[in-house]
Amino acid sequence: MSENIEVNFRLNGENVTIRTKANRRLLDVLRDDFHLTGTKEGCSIGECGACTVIVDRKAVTSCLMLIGSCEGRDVITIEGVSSPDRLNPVQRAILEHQAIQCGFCTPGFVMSATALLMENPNPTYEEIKVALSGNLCRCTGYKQIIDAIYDAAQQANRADPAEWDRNIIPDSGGRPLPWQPLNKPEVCELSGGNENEEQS
Amino acid sequence: MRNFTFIKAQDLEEVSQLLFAHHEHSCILAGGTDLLVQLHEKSKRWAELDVVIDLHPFQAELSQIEDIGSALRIGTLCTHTEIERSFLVNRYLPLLSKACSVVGSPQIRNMGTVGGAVCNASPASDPLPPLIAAGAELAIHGCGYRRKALLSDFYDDMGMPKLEPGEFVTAFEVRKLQPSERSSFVKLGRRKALAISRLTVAVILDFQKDGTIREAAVVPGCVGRRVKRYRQAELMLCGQRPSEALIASAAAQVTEQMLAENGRRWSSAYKEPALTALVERALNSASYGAEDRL
Repeated sequence: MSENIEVNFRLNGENVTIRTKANRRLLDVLRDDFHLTGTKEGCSIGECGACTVIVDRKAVTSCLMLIGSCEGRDVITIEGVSSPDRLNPVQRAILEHQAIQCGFCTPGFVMSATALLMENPNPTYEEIKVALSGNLCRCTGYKQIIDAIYDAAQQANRADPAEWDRNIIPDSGGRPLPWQPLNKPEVCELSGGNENEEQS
Repeated sequence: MRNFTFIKAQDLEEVSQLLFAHHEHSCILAGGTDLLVQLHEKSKRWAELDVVIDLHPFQAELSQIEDIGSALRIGTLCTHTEIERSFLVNRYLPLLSKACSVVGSPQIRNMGTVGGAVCNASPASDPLPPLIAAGAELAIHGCGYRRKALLSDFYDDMGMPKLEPGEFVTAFEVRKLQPSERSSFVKLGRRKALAISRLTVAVILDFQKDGTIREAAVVPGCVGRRVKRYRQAELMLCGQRPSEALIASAAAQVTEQMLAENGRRWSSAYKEPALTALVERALNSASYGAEDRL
């Protein structure tokens, strides 16, 4: 008996095999071996939801899953729900609703929301709240995020998929952006350190 | 995290043999939501862990919810989500489905199993009070034999599960509630979602045709080392018609027994009024279908 194991599973639609130590978590393997660093490590005890991935169509926290229990399962990470030039509807809606500040929790929210929409394409506001109750966000507040996901579901149900995938403005799904894009980037200049030193 | 060997057994008999052979140095992996946290926090409980035995190869066999006549047979690997959404559990054991719907977060409910919740033996486990109120039986697999045990006798005085070397739980058999029975489950956590329970109460009331209570089961969770039925309060309810005064005095009786058995602790100032209110809510909910008084 050895402490190494071989695990075969599906990762973002591809069959993969990995030989690794048995005491590693799915989260470690995703980040360190596959370099899929969109999945974040927050609390490591399943409270914050930053490491949420979809396993067999259900949202789970990858920090509570040993790599050995992934044998034969279908794992989808944030990298598997979109590509850099085409965001998925949930991601677009989160951008449009400005439901991001630092962004650390966002991949987890997107995965929880995607799992919900896979199962229930027309969720109520309450159902979205329950589905996101395992994800913590410490900057934005939850209203924008829930609004965004509700909106994404409504849009997906209303519009012809060909319409919202026109790719005119990739990030908004062809709908007008709710804010004016800035022509010039605003530059913030930090003042010298003297003032701060005096204060402290 | 500690190094260990990860074993997938061929059949249930091999699981028992491995558990027997490695006894103190082995553990079973079901959902992993408790085990991984304990391993991450380097819990002393697993200081000598060498072998982790995965139950997932038997997922198909151990995650069934079946109707077996007067009872439901719930596989040990059923996740909380599966129980919460099961048509059979919703229909025949609504309080269990309610309890499973308030465990942790959606992610935890998708992984965590009912077998794990019972065998980890936390008094704060949510499915435990409903299972004890309904008099659940456990199906236990040992080396070359199978046996059954009552869940209410499953824990020793320290609150640890009574399992011999090589034994593990494969299923729960829980009687179906009758049409004359009403049940409820209420939980108090620090916040609405994802909180470990501070207090829970499961109640089953069996009504006679004239509106009096024939039989009652009142099981508070998170009080004391063992989760059990509070018989004195139950006897107060039997033969009576539910009323505001009866519910208040039964709730007071539960709190009195809790204090008598566990003594006054630092948390008593909080738990005393909270438990009384929670038992009242649970009894109101089972009697009138609403937590607040009509």
